[in-house]
Parts: sequence; C-alpha cells; structure tokens
Amino acid sequence: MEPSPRPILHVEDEANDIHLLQRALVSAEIWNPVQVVKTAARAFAYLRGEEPFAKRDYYPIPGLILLDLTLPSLDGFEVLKWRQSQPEIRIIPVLVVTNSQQPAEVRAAYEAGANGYLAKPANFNGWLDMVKAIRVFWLNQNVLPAPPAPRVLTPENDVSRNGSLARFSLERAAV
Amino acid sequence: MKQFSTGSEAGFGAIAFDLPSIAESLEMALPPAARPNVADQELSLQTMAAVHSALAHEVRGPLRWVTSFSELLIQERGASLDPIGKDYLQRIAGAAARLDEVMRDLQKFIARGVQEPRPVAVSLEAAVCAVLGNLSSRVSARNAQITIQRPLPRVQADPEWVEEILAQLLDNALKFVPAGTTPLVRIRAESSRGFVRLYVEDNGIGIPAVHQERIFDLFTRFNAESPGTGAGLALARQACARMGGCTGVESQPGQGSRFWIELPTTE
Repeated sequence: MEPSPRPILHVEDEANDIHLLQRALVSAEIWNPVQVVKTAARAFAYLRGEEPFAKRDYYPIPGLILLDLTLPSLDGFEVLKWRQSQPEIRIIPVLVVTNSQQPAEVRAAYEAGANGYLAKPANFNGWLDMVKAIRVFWLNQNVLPAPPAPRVLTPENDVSRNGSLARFSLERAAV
Repeated sequence: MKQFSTGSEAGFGAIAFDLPSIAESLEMALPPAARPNVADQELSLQTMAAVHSALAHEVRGPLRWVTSFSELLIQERGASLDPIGKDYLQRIAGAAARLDEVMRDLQKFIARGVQEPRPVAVSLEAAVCAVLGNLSSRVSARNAQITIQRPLPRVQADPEWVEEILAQLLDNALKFVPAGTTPLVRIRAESSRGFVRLYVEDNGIGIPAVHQERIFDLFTRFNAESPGTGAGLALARQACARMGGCTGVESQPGQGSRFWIELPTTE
C-alpha cells in the first residue's frame, strides 16, 4: 500500500490566502492533508507535538512547511530562527510564501534557513501555477528525510494501556 | 540637481547619498499644494520606507484577493451569472488589475527614490541598440524608421537605469504616432560642459505647451486609450535626476516631439 502523503503545515493568518491556497490545491488535485496554524505559537506547538496537537497520529510531522512572514505577534522570521535550533524540525523544508519581495527580506529569510521564497501570486491562476510547481518539485521529486523514528518501547515508557497515542506508537514499533 | 559624487577615487565605488534629490523625487509625485516642506530628510526617508512597506503588505494584499476571487467567481460560478452580472464582475477585475499596476509603479518610484545608482561608463550607442533589440517586434509591426546619428558618446551612469529611460522614450516615440503614419524616430546626441544631451525625436501627435511639464508627473495620461499607468516619464525623470542629470521636451501639436535627457559625460 502507498504510504499516505505527508501533510503540509501552512502557517498563515490571512483567511483569504488560506482559502486561495486550499482552493488551488483542490483544483490541482493535490491531496496531501493540510494543517493550518495562524500564529507562530501554534506552529511551535504543532511541530513540538504539544497540545492541542499532541496526538501525532492525528497531527503527524509535516513533510513541508509553507510560512508567511507577516504574522501577528511573533513573525515568520521568529519561526525560522526557532526551527534552526530544533534538530528534528530544521530538516523539514520550509518555503516562505509572503507579500514582500524586498531584497533585504528575501536575503534574511534564506539566512534564517528558508529553503525557498515565493511571492503570493497576484491572481488565482498564479496560485494554481505555484501549487503545481510545489507538487512537482517538493512533493514528488524531492526526497524528504524520514520523520523521526517512534520511540522504542521500554517497560518505563510503555503506557500503551493508557491511550490511543501510545497504542499507535506500539503498532508502528511493531512494523 | 547636478551633484554626482562618486567615491571611486577613494577605493570602492561608494556613492554619496544624495538626500536632496530623494526628497525632490518624492515631491515630484505630489501636486504643488500637497508638497511638504521637508525639513528632516532622515524622517522623509523613513516615511518612504514605511509607505513602501505599507503598499506591499496592506494595499497589494487585498488587491490580490479582489483579483483572485473575481477570477474564481468567473471560473466557478460564471454559468449562474447573467451577462450584466458578468460585465460588472469583469469591470471589478479590470479595475483591480489596473490598481495593482499603479501600485507597482508607485512602489518602483518610491524604491528608486532611496536606491543608489551604480554609475559606470555606459556607451549610449550600445544601450540604444539593446533597447531597440527589445522593441524590435514593435518597430517592425509599425514599420518604423529609426535613424541613429553615430557615434553616440559615453556617459557616466547606471546602465540598467539608462536602458529603462531609453526604453520609455523610444516606446513613447513609437506609440504616440497616428495610425497610418510611419513612425520616424531620430536619435542623436551632443556634449557640452561635462554633460551629454541625448535627443529622441519623433513625428508623433505632439504635446501642447500647457501639458509639457505635467507629462513628467506621476500618473498623467493624456490619451485615455493608451495602455500603461502614465508613470513612465516620471520614472525616467526621477532616474535621470538620481544620476545627476535632467530631462525635458520640446514639442508642438502635430509637429512631433523632441525628448531629451542629460547625463554626466565620462570625461
């Protein structure tokens, strides 16, 4: 059986851009699950596997992160900086998708570890072209590092009787 | 403004930051009554940077949404709209696209006000040929005759900016010619007192004297049908001024126009 496609984490606070990206994904028939988070804090929580995203079987490690730079409170640069400090997170490719094409911001994003920098398209066909290009390269051709291996169960951490998350880890460890 | 100090003697080509001309270029964008008395140049630079960023994020963002959702409405729900509804929708999409173009030119104008030119010795002849190469399909479509009075001298200027200015002048020379008339364009130059003046002469519709200064203002168009936002000549004048030069026009209605730019020679 084909492994199910790795999810995309979309870090974006603008409802219209969230809608346009999802609509473009549907038009392009890209079926990777997409998890949207609207703030940097929620992106951290998702990527760390903290509440409300603690159940990794529902909220798996993404295969790709799409990141807006202008976010409320902590901005996209903060997300990039934090990612660089996390060994298991910084191996996940991040594409910046944002309004500005100011050379200084582009440079700063790459310096902070972005793997690509895309300007938000001016029209819907532009969104369609963009998600198709992402599919061809980042979702199909590009080889992703494997997600971190599930913890090996020992008597100390085997809490399989206590919940679905641990049961899921057990099943995986048995494969 | 004819200050153009390069630091090339001092080593790396550091260019003195020409604050007055930045303020001038900002003021050129405003009608006389709205022109501020800019005392604090530093503040005006910060203001421009803030305006530039606001245009990118707060204005062009919502504009993209108007364009994108109009497009989706036509593509996905077009069948349920009657012809009048479709017409309105297309007008909305057209207006948004136009506004986006205006915003892009405005951002360019503001950015150009704070960018520094990177002047080197530029062959006007090579620059004219490069620009004509890019315009070749339009030149042949209009069967235009272009005469270059060789040789054209060299100027001390930013090569990209020079090509942009020339592209604008030559585009206008080809554009504002009555249908059925063969465009005749003549390009020549003369040098005096440390400056080169390059002329682009056409046999187009000409410009009435009362409009001759205003055509260099941002977003002035005297022909509602012509494409573009009317920012081209303002951008050309600004680029010239930022490189220590100036621009002008001599024209009479029905007699064609003679646009000129002045840039420092290479000495």
